[in-house]
Amino acid sequence: MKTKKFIPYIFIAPAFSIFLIFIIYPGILGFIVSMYKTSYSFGPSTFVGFNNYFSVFKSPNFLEALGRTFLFSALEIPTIYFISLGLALLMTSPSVKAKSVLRVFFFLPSVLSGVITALIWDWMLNYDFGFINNLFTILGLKNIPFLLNPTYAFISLALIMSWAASGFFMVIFIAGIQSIPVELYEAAEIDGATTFKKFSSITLPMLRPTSILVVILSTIQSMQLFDIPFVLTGGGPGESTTFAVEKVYNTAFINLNMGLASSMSFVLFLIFLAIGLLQFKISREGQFWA
Amino acid sequence: MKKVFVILTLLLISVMTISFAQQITLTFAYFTDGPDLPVIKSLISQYEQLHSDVKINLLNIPYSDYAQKLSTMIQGGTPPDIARAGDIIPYQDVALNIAPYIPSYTGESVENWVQNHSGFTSMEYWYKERGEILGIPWDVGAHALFYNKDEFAKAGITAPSTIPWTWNQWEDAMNKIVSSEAAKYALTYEKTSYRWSNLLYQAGGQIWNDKDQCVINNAEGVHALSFFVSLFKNNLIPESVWVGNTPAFSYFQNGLAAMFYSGTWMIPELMQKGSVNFNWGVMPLPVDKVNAVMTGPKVILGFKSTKYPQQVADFMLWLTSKPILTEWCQKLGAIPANHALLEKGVDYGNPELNSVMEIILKDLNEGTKPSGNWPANFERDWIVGNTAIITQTYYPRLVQDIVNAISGTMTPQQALNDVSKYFNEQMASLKSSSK
Repeated sequence: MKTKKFIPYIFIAPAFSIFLIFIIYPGILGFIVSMYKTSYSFGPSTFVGFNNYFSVFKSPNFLEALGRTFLFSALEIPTIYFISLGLALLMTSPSVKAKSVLRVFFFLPSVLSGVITALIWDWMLNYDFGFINNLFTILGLKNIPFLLNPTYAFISLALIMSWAASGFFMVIFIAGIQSIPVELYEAAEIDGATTFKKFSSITLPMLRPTSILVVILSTIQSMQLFDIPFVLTGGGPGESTTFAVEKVYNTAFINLNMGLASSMSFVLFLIFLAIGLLQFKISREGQFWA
Repeated sequence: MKKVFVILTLLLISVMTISFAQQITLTFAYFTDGPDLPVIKSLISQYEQLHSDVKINLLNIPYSDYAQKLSTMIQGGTPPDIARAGDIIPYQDVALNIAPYIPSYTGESVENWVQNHSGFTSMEYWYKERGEILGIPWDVGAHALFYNKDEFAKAGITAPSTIPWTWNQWEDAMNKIVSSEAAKYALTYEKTSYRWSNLLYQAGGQIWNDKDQCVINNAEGVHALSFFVSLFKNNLIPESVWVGNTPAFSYFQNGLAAMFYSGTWMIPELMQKGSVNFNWGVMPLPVDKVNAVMTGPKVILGFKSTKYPQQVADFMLWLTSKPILTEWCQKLGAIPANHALLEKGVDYGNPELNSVMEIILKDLNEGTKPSGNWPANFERDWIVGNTAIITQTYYPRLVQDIVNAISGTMTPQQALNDVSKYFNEQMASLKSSSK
């Protein structure tokens, strides 16, 4: 009887150990580092308590990067949502042929690494070497500074991220759509419901749990954005595509201020945690996770 | 027979065990600077043959990740034994002082060795400040202006080889290249604050004065930045390099830009067959008020944490010794960071490379002669003291503000005012924390 009590713990032990070693332990170390003013030349660090945290909130650069991250998320999340939902509807529609091929085609970008995605889009959008601008030159059109104008760069990045992520969320939506009972559509058809009516009254409400999952996952993804802008734009032009995580990276590895970077990481962690909890709370209130 | 075989096998195993047990491994963190990987590998195997008790584990890290990887290794308490570095300053508190090992290896006193080996300020500074040798200058990088001979011929321009162009002559040539459609752009200029600073010093400017105040926003600084910005505005330099993230070399390599403002480290790359499909040359850096050519050695340093300080120091001293340094420079077209070798000159064994190096070394010689506050301003800004620490730590702000001036969101004066304000704030913070 006693042995049985331990069995669940034995099963979760491997996963818990990994979580402890790779998440909790570095997290604690990071928190300790955030209490120190680290030397530029890797010399002895000075304990400064929460001073680094005050510096984070006094740093206009970090707050700007944070604001930019929120703005980017506000632009990217609805884009991802509607594109992936649209693709999922297409891929489950009886009138579309060669669905398997198309699914692979749309899903492919989400298996590419961020660096590869950034390089592909650099070849596409570069002002002098890019495929699109070379096409414009051949057609006698003016080149577009996709990555040189702050606004264009920001929008380009949001679209690239949506391109990269939508395939993955499409698969989640497809699973959601396929789990809706067919009887509901059959009953609606008998009642004479139009395609739009069936979508708005059956598909969309029944997809609410999936939608919440997609919104939560895409929020986390867009808040943690780093690799694609880092490689594609280097955070520029100026700082127009420097997001919060890149700011942490620059503080740690360019300015070599590990203490301040660690405190920035903790501030970001708390913000992301609050957003995540809020989203879970909203989803629970709607009883969709019960 | 069987017994003999067993005994011989046991003997072999024990000999191998003893020799492996005696062999030590030194980890050498390295970044490639052009196609130099085969050369360093061959030097390492040479060293391993000479010292069978030492194995060098070369850790080749891409330059773009180098600072981050090395700093993570140091912060994590597992630095390498030896590293190639661009500067000593970031590693001053963790670098191994090799001064005690110099007399036994070289047979010279430390003072003599410092004097004979190199006149480069960084090493002399640390020896004077702390009585320590924290790193040995290895080879020298100097800024250089490369040009596409075919496109120059098409534009009807002759590049200077001895007397440098003035900025005005340079700009005229740039306009001629673009208007004659010899190339889409006249110049491609690497996106680093260090590279831009060469214009600052040529204009007679400086980042810091001798009272530790950032004065980059004075008239000379604004003149340098205004000139630079005007080259973008007139479409002589591609914006993609500075405002975007496109490597400057790709424009030169593809014939889209007729000139390339970079440094001597690009020579091995350009010398490689197939790297560029045109004839290229080098010219002296254009001058404004001052003939200034920025130069700096790459250093090799050891880490205090090594278990084998003697072997680390021996390897560093061997690698930077005259015969090995000569071999390194001959194979790579590099400039030795060694007084005697610099004065004697290196025969690169290749007429084309010899002629290129002749122009560069002459330009370097002329461009490092004192004139006004040059090169004291450069040393203060980038090499020694708190001023250099601030510049080297917070240079991204300078790059960012140069980009702001190029993209028109700030005037050159506003951009440099912002840099000055930020650098002065950081200096005040550094001084208050070190009190």
